[in-house]
Amino acid sequence: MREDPLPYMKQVALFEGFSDSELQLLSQVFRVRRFTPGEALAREGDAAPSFFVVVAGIVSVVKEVSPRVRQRLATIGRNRMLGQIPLIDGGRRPNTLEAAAPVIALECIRDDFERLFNANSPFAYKVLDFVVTDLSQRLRQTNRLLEELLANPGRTLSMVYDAFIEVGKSVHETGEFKAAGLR
Amino acid sequence: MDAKLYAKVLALVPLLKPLSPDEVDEIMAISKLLKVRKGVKVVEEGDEAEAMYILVEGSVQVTKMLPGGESTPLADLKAPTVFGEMALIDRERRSASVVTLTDTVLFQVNLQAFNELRARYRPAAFKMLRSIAPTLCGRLRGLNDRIGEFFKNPEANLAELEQQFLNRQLSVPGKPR
Repeated sequence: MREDPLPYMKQVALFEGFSDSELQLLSQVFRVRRFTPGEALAREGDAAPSFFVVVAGIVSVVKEVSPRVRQRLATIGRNRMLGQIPLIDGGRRPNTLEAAAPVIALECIRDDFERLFNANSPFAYKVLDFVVTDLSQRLRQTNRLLEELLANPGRTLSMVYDAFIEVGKSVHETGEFKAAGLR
Repeated sequence: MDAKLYAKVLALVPLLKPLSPDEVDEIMAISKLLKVRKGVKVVEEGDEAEAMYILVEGSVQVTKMLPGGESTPLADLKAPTVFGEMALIDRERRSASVVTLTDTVLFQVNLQAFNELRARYRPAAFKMLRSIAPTLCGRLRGLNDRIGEFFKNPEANLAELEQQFLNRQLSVPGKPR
């Protein structure tokens, strides 16, 4: 039986400011999904028919560098969205999304979102606003990082060395590639 | 807006295609079409952001000032694309400069007015945001691929970074080698 997403929607900031009747309507396009640690919400390179809103738990964003090497790029928690890039450009999943702790997420199909957007739904507008803001912030952060790297190559190098020593240790000790955050 | 003018605007700025004639009118009311000659600084790093730009024709270079006062190019952009859109989200100062590499045609959108349309949930603003968003995604996908490339061959990339570091040390007078 389909689990009612409404109680979960009420716990998430993205749905704040909407009336009960609006939420009732929106609850028809969201599905409650549960993931156990290590389970993938989505895999890099796959078609991306949906996006997620995290209600509880932690999700790792992982770059599949090669079949044996995986680079964790970020961890995403409650209230955040996942899958914004393919939601906007219709492309494939740029990264694997993997539960790092038990996860409850709300999933929305891209076509349903497009339908809401084309019907001038304030919710779809709010999601778009949210997404554009998030994308811009990520670009700005990356530009800042680039700026730091360019301004201080000595520090960059020592940071990269430290990171690789840690990676080497982790490979040696656990046989697993776990990269440290490069910051 | 009459059909002829509408068609003309859409031909010039295809990003506005999802907008109806009335919605294009709304955007035109807060925008200007500018012809800018080659070699002009359109956006100055550190300035307050008052506009975002759709690059309609030509190309521009994005440059960033390093603490030493030296300017480094970050990217060359070719029409059709968007720049200055980062200011959409906050009132921070410009994070980089933009200089025209050729004679260009720019569609300049006033940010404050655009954000007012956004705050009023006007479809014109959101249809335009929807048009701009894939450009942001393209830039993030590009960065994501570069991260992947780096970790595919970390040793070679590290060696290259080291070389760049050494070259830089050598080129800055007064710094220890």
